[in-house]
Amino acid sequence: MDAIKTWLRRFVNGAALVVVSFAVFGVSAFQSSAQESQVTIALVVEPENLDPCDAPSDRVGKVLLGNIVERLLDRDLSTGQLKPELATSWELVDDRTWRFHLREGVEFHDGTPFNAEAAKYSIDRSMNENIACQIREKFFSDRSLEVTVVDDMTIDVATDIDDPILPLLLSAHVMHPLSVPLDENVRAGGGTGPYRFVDWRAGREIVLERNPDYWGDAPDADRVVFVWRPESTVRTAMVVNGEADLATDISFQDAQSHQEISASFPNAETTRIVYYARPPMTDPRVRAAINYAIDREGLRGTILAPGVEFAKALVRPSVNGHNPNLAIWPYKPDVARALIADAAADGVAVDREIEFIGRQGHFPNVDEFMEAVTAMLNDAGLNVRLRMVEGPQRSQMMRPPYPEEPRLFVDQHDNTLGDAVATLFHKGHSKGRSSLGNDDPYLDFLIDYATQQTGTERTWAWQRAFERLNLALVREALLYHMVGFVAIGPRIDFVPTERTRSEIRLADIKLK
Amino acid sequence: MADKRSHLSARVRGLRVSINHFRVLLAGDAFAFVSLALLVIIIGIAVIGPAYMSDFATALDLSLRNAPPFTDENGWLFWLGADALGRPLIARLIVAAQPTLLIATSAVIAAMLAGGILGLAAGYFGGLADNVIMRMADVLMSFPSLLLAIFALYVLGPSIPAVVIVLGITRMPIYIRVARAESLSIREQLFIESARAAGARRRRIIGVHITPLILPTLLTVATLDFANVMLAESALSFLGLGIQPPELSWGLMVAAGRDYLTSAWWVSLWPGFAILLTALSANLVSNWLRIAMDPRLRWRLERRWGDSDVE
Amino acid sequence: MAEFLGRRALHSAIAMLSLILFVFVIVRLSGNPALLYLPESASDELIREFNERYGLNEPILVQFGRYLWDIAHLDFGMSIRRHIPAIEAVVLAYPWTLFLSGITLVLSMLIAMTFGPLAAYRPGSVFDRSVTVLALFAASTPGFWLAITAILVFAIELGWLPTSGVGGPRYWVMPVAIMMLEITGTTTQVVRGSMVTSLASPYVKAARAKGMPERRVVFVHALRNSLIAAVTVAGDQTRGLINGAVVVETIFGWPGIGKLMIDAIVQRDFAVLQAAVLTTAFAIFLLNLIIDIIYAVLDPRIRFR
Repeated sequence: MDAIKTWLRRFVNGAALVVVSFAVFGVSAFQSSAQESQVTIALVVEPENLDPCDAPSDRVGKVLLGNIVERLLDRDLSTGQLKPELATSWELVDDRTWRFHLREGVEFHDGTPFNAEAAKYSIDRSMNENIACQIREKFFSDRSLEVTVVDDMTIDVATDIDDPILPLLLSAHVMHPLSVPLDENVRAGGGTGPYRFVDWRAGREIVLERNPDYWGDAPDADRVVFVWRPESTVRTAMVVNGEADLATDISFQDAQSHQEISASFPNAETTRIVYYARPPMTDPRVRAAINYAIDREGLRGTILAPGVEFAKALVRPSVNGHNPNLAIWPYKPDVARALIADAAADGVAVDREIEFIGRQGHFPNVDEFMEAVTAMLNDAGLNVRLRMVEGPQRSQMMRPPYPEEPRLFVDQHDNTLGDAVATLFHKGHSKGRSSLGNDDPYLDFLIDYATQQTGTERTWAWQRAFERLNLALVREALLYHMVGFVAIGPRIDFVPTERTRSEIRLADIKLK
Repeated sequence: MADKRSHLSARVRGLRVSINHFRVLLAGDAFAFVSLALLVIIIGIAVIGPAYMSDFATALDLSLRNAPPFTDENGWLFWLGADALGRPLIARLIVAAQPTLLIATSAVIAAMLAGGILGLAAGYFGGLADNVIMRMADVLMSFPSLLLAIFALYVLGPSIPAVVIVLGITRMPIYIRVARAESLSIREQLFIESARAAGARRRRIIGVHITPLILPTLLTVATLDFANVMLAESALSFLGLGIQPPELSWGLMVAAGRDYLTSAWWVSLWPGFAILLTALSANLVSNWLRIAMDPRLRWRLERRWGDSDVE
Repeated sequence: MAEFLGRRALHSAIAMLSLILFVFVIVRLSGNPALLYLPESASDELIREFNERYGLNEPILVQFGRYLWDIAHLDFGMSIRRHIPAIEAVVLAYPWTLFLSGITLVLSMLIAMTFGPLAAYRPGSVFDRSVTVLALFAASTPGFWLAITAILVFAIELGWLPTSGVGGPRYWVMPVAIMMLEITGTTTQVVRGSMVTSLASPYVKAARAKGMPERRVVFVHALRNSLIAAVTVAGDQTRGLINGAVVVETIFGWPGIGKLMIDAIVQRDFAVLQAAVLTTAFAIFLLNLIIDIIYAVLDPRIRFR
C-alpha cells in the first residue's frame, strides 16, 4: 500500500511539475524581459549549479564569487597582499592556528546574521567529506581544518600540518548562511554579497537582483541576467546588437574585428606542453628538441592574440616563486632536427608514434593551435598524431595509471592563489596528481622544503624548484601566458582584470 | 530449373530494356542530367584529387591566414581563400571530399548489407527470427537517429570507423523493412515453390533466387539514402562528435569556420556549399531514378514502416 | 482493432525495455563519471568516495535492477551536476522542444498540404518540377550550416533578428525556419505522391463526372484520402524533428531537450541523460500509438493482421 501511495504521490508531484513547467513556459516563451537598469552578461556555458562549494570552478565562480558569496579575506591583485573582506583582521595564535575577527553588522540574504557560527559552518561544510566540494578538493585535500568559535565575532582556524600561508589558502572559503544544508549539495544558496540569487530558468538564464541590505557600497545595476552561448561570434554579436552588455571569452579574431567594444586582459592561464615519461621523451635531447621546434613567435598574433606573453614558468610573474632568470626557448628548427637525428642515431625510438592530446574547446582557436604545433613537431622529425578529446577524457589520461604509449598534452594552468605551492606540488612533486609519471627526488626535496618556508626563503626555494623543473629536467615546453578578451557594450563601464576568467565582480560594472 | 533460367533471362532482358529506357529518360530530364554529371565530377575529384592536393591542403602558411577569396594574388589555389592556418580552401575542399564521400558510401553499404541480410532472414524464416529482428528495427527506427549516433560515438570514441558503424546501424532499419517485404512476397512465388519442390537447399534458394531479386530495390533505396547519411555525418562532425582534426570532412570544415564567421565567412561557406551541392545532386539523381524505376517502389518507401502490417 | 492496438502497445513496451537496457549499458561503458564531476586534481580516494555515494561501484546488475525499480517509481535520480532531480531538468526543457517542433510541424504541414496537391494536379508540369526541385533543395541543405549562415546574415550583418536565445516572437523565426527546412520538403513530396494516385483513382473520376467543382475535387475529396500519407509522414517527421532540434537548439541556445541531452552527454550527467532519453523514447512510442489510432480512424478499410 505504501509503495502505491508513494508512487501516487510522486505521480501527482510529477504531473504538477509538468503543469508548472508549461505555465512557466507560457508566461516566458513569447515575452522579452528587458529592464532599464538591467545588465545582461553572455557566458560560454551554463554553470551546472551555484553551490558555494563549487566557487573555484570558473563557470560557477563567474556568477557566484564576489556577487552572491564573499570570502573572509581577499588577495589584492596589484600588491599580492591579503585584504579584509568579511574578516576585518587576522593574526597568528600559535604555529598552526590563525584567529579571524569578523565584520560586524553583516547579514545574509535570508536575513540571518553573519557571525562566528555561520563562518564556522561555512568552512565545516566545505571540508565535509560527505559532499562533493571543489574548495576542499582543490586547496585542502592534504589536510584537515579545525574551526573553533572564540566569541560571537571571532573564530580560530587550526590546521594539522605546518603551513605558513594558511590565510592565503583560507581565502578560497566562501561564507554562506546556515540554511545551506551541511550534507547535501545544493542548486543555489545565499550569501552576503551585493547581489542575491532570484531565479534560474534552466537552460535559459540566471537572474540576480541587487541586495538592498548590502554592507558595502551599493552597485549600479538593479538586476543582472546571465545567459550563455557557446560561439564567440554569437556572444560578440549579442553585444554589438545590444542583446548583452558584457560577453566573456571572446576569441582574438572577434575582438579584432570589433575593437571598439573589446578589451583584453591577462587571463591568468599559462599554456604548456607536457608528456608522459615514456620513450622517446625520456631522452633529454628529444625534450629539448620539442622546445626548439615550436615557433612561439609565429603563433603569436596569428592564431593566438598578439598580447600573449612568452612564459618562463608555469606561473605568472606576479605569483610568489616565479623565476625571472629562466630563458625563453628560441625557435631553432635546425637544432631540433639535429637533436632528433642525434637521438635516433643512438637508438632512441624517435619514430614511435606520439599522440598529441588536445581538449575540445580548451581555449579560442585551440584546433588551429594544435594543428600548427603538430606540423612543427613533425617537421622536427618526430612522429606526432593529433587527437582532440573531451575534457573529462583528457583528465582521465592525465592521471595514473599511465599507459606505455607516449603522449603529449596541451595543458593550461591557472594559479589563483598567488603562491607557487598551488602549482608545483600537483604538477612537479612525484606525489602530485598531475606529474605524469615524471619524478625527481631532488625536485621533491626542493618542493617539500619550500612548503615549510616563509618570506624570501620561500621565494628562493620555489625559484630553485622551477630551475630544476625547466632548466635541468626540461619537463615541459612552456609557451605563453595567455590573454583573454571580453566584449563590453556601450551602456556600461567595465575593466577586466587578471581575475575576470574566474569571477566577474558585478559591483565593478558601472552604468553610464 | 528451366523456370529459374527463364526467369533470370527475363530479368536480364528487363534490365537491358530499362537501361535503354533510362537513357531516354535521362536525356529528357535536364536537372537529373546535370546532377549526374556533377556527381560524377565530384566523385572523380574525390578519387584522384587528394593525391595531388594533400600537400597543399596541409602546408601551413600563417602569413596567408584567412586570405580572402576571389583574388589571384596568391595563386589559383587560393582563389576561394584560405583558412585560419593559411591553407588554400580549394585544396582542402578537394582533400575533404574523399573522406566525406567515403564515409557516407561505406555507411550506406554497411547498412544495406547488414540490413538486407537481416531483413531477408526475417522475411524468409518468419517466426521468432522475424519477431526479434523487427523489434530490433523498431527500437532503432523509433528513436531519433542523431541521438543514437551521439550516444554510440561517445562510447566508441569519435573515429572514422566508429562514425561509419554508427551511421550504418542507424540507417539499417530501412533496409531491413524493404528486404523483408520483398522476400516475403518473393517467397510465395511460383518459381521459389518449384525450386523448393525440386529439392533446392535453403541457402541456394536465398542466394540464387531471392537475393538477386531484392538487390536492385535495395540499391535504389541506397542511392536515396546517400545524401541523408552524408548530411548526418556532417552534422555529427559539426557537433564535434564525428570526424576529428587533423582528419578532414566538409562538416568539420564548416565547424572550424564557425569561429571566423564575422572575420572570414568564406571558411565555413564553401564547405557548406559543397555539402549542399553533393546532397542535392544525389537527391536529384535518386529522385529521377525512383521515377524511372518501378513506381511500386516509391509507394513502399513513402509508406510508413509500420505498414508491413497493412496489406 | 483493439487487438491490433494491444499488440502495438506490447511491441512498444518491449522496445522501451530494450532501449532502457541499451542506454544503461552504453552510459556505463562510456567512462567514469566521477572524473568529470571532480576536478582534475581529485585523488583516487575522492573518486572512490564519489562512486560509493552514487552507487557506481556496485555490481552492474544491482545498479541496473535499482535503476529499473527507480524508473517504475518515476524516480530518475538526482542530477549529479545540477543538484536537482533529473526529471525536473527534463520536464522543464520539454515545452520548449514541444512548441518548437509543434509550430514547425504545423507550418510545414500547411505548406505541404498547399503545394503538394497543386504539384500533383499536373504531374510533370513546370510547377510540379519546381516544387520537386525546391523540396529536394530543402532536404539537401545542411541545417547547421544554414543556421550559422542565417545568424551571420540576419542577426550579425543586418541586425533584424536576435542572434539566439529565447524571448519575444522574433526569437522564434530562425529556429523554426531551420527546423522546417529539415522536414517540409519530404512532407510535400509525400503528399504530392499520394495525391497523384488519389487523383487518378476511380472515385475522383466519379466525383468529376458528377460535375463537382475542380477545386473541391482536389482539396476535399482527393486530399482527404492523402491525409493518411500525411499523418504517416508526420509520425516519421517527429524523429526528424528531434534530430533537427539537437542541432538547432545547440546553435541557437534554445533551452529544450536536444540541448539538454547534448549538455548532459558532454558533462556525463547520467541521471539527466537517461531521464531525457527515456522520456523522449516514451513520448515517441506513445506518439506512434496515437498515430496508429488516427490511422485506423482515417481509413477503416485497413485490415489489421
